[in-house]
Amino acid sequence: MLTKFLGQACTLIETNNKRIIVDPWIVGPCNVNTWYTLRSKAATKKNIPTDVDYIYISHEHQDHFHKETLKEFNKNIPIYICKFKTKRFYNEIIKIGFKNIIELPSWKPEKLTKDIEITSIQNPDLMFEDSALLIKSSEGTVFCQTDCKMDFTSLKKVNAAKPDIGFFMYSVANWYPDVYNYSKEKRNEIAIKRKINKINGFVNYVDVIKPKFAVAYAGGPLFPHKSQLKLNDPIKGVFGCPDEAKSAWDNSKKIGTKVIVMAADDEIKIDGTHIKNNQPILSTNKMDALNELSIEVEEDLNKRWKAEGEASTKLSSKITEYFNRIISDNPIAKKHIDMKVQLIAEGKNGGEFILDISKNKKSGSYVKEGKTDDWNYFMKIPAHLVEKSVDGELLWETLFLSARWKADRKPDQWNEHFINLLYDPEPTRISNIYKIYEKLH
Amino acid sequence: MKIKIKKDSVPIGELVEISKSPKIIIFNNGKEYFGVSGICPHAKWPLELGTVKGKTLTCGGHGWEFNITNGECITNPGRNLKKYNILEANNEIIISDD
Repeated sequence: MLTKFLGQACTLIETNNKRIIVDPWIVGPCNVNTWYTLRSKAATKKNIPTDVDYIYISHEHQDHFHKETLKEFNKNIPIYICKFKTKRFYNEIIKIGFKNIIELPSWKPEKLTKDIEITSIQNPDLMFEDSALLIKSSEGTVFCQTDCKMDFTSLKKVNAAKPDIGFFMYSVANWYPDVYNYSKEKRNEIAIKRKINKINGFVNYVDVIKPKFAVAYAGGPLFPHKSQLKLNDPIKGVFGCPDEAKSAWDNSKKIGTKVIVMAADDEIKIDGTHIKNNQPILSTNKMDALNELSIEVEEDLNKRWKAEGEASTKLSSKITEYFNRIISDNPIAKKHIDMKVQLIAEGKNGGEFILDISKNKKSGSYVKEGKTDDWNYFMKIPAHLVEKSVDGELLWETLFLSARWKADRKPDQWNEHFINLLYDPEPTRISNIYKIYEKLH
Repeated sequence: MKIKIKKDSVPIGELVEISKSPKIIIFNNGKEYFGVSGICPHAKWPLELGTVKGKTLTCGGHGWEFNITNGECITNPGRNLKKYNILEANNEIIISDD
């Protein structure tokens, strides 16, 4: 049994003459032309192992479900996903042409062959869909957390499966605090705290699951676009490097697992033998790698940004129609969101919009053009990206992950209900979530 | 519900589980004792795996933060922990939910 690491959360597991690839994002950027995998030299199509027997995709974020990479695979290869409550992810895979999609109920093992079994493990979150994967064969057991935030009971069950190798997320990969309007000091304080919390989480995941060998992966990306270079700061940045996770584990003095730092393209045998095929990107060489990558991809990245186009003259009416529809369709979400949003669509054909999602706002238009100081949430987003989101071509979450926007909050609090509405405003989904949520809280 | 424990079973700076059902954890900051429910409402991680800095209890799983003095969730308002009352009596503390 051999596992090849291909960057971010992508692993290729070879066992008993079968090959399973998990979360293949290998070439090109993701998240609106911003994220690259931790490589000093960008991967090419030659790096994509298309001769696989099975594909598993954990969830729909582009660093896991990457259309540019997936288009290189034969569309008859079976794709396995977790059986989520909604069909939204399933339908997205259908749209890119794959014909054989198998949904696995969480924790129900699926035999791929007589001696290869995979088990999908769903995250417990009510609002966001994600999954991890356990792969067992007569040669050994490999666990891939991807970036699934797992419940503790599931961790104990993975521990009981006695994995030989586990791949664990070690870093924040999110827009907080970088897009928010904090002072430099406050921003740095939040970023450092978040990074430490995430690395502590890595240590605890490894300690509970206790594989023989643990690999730190699914961490922060590189942002090589010239306008985003400061996001990569290895000291003050929120995005960590795998050596930091290894140091935290080694310093914890916990025993029973050896943490390994792997570079993209490296391989690991089931007995822990590490075959080094590339230079890992560490906190010590990250900026050198970034500078190299930034020069290499500059022309291509600029072309991609230009190709995104401009917002149309219809943007204003589209924004009004979109938000009026999703707010009026979901009164239960409005009750929980309870805030006013100032949305600035910046650039050609953009505009200023006030979204009134207050629980007391009973009827009439929820959207009006203009500015207010009375906002709870402020968002300034390139107009053409707003248009792609209201048109349903771009998930809001993908846009947010790009960090190509600015935000502010009064009070300075996460509003999961607002993000959940944007995640998928389908009324049945929202209604089902709040039936459970209101019982719990 | 009333649970009585010895003060010295809760060392300063440590999160200690003092009841499994209901799961309750106690924290002693050197001056006061605090008691809250011991399961993170996010992904059901045991909160004794977390850390406390000042008044902030951080879950060891995914970093959700709570105010240890009153159980309020800082990360995600509304997803609070249950706060338990603490009464100190000589070398004992009494934890109750009334």
